[in-house]
Amino acid sequence: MTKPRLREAFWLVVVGLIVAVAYGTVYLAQQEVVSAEGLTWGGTFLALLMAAHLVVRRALPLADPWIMPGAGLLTGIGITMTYRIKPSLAGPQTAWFVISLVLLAALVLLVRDHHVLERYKYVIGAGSVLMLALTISPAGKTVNGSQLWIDFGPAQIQPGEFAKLGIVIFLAAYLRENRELLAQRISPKHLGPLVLFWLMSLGLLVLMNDFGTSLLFYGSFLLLVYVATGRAWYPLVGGAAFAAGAAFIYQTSGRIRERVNIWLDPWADAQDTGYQPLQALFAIADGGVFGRGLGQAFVVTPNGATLIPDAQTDFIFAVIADELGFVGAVGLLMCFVVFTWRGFSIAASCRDGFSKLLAFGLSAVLAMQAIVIVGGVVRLLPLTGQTLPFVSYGGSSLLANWLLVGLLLMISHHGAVERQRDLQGARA
Amino acid sequence: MKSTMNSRMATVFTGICVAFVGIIGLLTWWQIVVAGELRQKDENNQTAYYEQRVQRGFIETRDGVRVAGRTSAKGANGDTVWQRTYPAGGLAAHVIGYDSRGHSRTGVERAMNDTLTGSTRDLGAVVGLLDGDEEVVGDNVRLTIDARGQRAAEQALAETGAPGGAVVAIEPATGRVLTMASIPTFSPADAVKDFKAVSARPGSLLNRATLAGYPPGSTFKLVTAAAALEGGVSPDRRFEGGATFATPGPDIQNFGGSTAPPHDFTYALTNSVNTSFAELGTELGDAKLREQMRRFGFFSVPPLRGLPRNEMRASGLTGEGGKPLPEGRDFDEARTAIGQERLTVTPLQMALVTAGIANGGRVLEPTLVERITRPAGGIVEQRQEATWKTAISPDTARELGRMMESVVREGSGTAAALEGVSVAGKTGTADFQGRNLTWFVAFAPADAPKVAIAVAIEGRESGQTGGVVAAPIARRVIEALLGRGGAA
Repeated sequence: MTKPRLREAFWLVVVGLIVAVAYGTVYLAQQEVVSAEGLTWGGTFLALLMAAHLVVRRALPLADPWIMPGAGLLTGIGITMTYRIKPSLAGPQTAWFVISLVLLAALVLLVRDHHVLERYKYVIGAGSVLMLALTISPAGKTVNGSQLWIDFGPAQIQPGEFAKLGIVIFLAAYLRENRELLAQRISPKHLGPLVLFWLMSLGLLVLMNDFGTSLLFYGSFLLLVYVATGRAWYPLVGGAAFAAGAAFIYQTSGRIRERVNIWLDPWADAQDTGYQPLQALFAIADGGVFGRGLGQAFVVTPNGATLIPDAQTDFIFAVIADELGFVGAVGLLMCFVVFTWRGFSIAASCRDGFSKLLAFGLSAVLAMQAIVIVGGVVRLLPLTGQTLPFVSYGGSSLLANWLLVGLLLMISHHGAVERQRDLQGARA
Repeated sequence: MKSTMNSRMATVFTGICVAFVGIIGLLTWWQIVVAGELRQKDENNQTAYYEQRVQRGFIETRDGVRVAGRTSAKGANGDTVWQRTYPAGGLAAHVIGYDSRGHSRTGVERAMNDTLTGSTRDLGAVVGLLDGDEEVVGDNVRLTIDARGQRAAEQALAETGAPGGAVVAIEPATGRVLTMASIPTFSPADAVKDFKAVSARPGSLLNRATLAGYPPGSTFKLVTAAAALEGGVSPDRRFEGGATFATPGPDIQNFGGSTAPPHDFTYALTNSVNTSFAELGTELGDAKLREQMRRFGFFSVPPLRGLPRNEMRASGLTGEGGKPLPEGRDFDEARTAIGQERLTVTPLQMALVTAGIANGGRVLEPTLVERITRPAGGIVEQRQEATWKTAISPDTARELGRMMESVVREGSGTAAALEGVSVAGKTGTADFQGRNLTWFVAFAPADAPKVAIAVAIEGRESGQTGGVVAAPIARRVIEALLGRGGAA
């Protein structure tokens, strides 16, 4: 076994133990009976992680060892907290985790090398836009005012999560091809398809009323173009255009106006629109430094509803802050920082532009998503209805993010292989 | 090019880290810096939930009547939640206050909330809570309130049918508040169930005993007399009498325009002769009057243990807009001396003045809290006595007391006379919102005072005096507190 895989195995075991203990604690608090079921689940979780580990060991032996344990820890905490908030949802989320790992294995074993994606960049880009278009078609469903979902019989998926990946792949590939040109001159011929593509997706998002994902798309676009071309002009003008667009949207969209007003002063309408963010703040304050303890806080009211509406999705961070305290919340944020750091390191160590940009884009979009949703919960920004990657309850989000993990692992492995080859070549 | 791509990625990573630092900063703010404030907010259901789980401590009168109890109910998920009960109905409603989710709390429920919810326990108990110890039982508060006196006061007030009024009775030697009643009153149980209905009834939630700003009328002559005696005026001082006293403003007249014969100091107080007191006031000057007021505790909020500070107010001189008159500003001493000019006092303050006179000149710190006990027994805190103000010398107090006895024996306060017990008092009548406000302050027994009382009744038709309306109420309460002629 290679050294990275040894490390990974070790940390996966550690993660598995942590998650098992956490789950068991919640189980105890809920059932007040010491039983093996808490441990059974923990064991299953660890087994799943080890199975994924075996696949990676086979196919990508040189990949970065911290990506999977990081994602695994976040997922495990997520399922534990979902179980704590609404036990009936833990089963579906675990099922989605299994599906995610299966698809991860499929991706890794079938695609093998991410450079394949470069060839299909237009297909992937168009496919992403199409997925978004489907939600505003008759097949789409409106939930909470946003048209985010497509019904697939027993399951519902959020195409926005997958479109996110698709757009990053497309941008990375396109920019790699055209970045020298774009860096020297702003040429409509080369900028054209890019902007067109981007406008289409943005327009769809606006039509879908999903401003959170628009923010992420726009942000990843600006960052990727900046890193690829080195021209600060892009993010600066882009930022200005965003401000103008935001002001326009503020004037025209009552919903956005409401969101911004609640952000600035949730007390103004504390019982109605301000209720959710305020209860989240109260939960955070309740946690203090060390938290109330897993399963101990007042999260579920006597009639079964959660105190914070949507506690298991947008506001899961507030529940974590309540039960695990400042220490736990910062720990969780550190997980994201470390994960992002590893993703950027992978990008930095890659030789070819596509790998670099892809690894960078994927890590950046994940970090931005975490910042946007946690920022909304702590009132750094207005709330945007994003999920906290790996942690929030949601099948599409979990699946998309594990595919992201798969991509990062592939990039990491092939990057390391290349470096090894160079070293051997230099020796030869 | 690749190396600069890396440096640009590093820049972005720095930006991401800055964002996370910003988030952690805000998290620190909400979770640590202002967490306490957030917990106090009325909208906070977290706090409300934890409070429901707590067995709130009992509140009882000194003679063991439970005025605030608790009962358990089952929450839907099997949790036990606790609710307040009021076994004595609305007895001492303004004192105990209400404890209502969403509308916060008042009275003892508020001032002693930490005690009643067991939050004042030592670290060991707190650690026990962290371990998941579900039972939180608050400490019990025993009030200084005497249920007999309280009932008598509330009944007597209700029977007047007046739009407003209050009774405060204090034990002069110890500072115990034996009775504190205010009308209109409310039912704490109703306040919890249907707050809107309760708050819709105007003024029923206001504790007039501590918050009403009444003109003191002739009861203020006690303060003038005290200032005069302290200032060297002899108790045998003679006055010329007459019908009017000239002032820079309108002349001061005696009650009903009557003409007083030449008389002495005792007669002046016994019959509440305005002209003589106006004369005294002018002689003393505003500085001395202010000083005596300060010595009785005017101009400060009384340090009453057991009520929140914002449910009390200071008594004193008022200027424009009802705000306190600033130091050094002139006021009409003649009118102030007879209790008519710009004075606003609370019944509590007048009770404290009377208690001071009864207690040889020393005003003790008033308190509503007799003791705090653990649920399983064991005393957490016992009432401590402390002198708040030394208002007058024992000699002055004795003199004043004698004059006040005369008021009840043969003056305007004869309705307060009790058989077998000598009562010392002073009547008062003032203009308040277009109608009469009637007062009676007293202490008894005059030789060894056990009770000092102040009664104020609003809204009588003019012509009715303190002697007629307020004095009988004082008598009833004193009777009840003394156990009908015997020692309390």
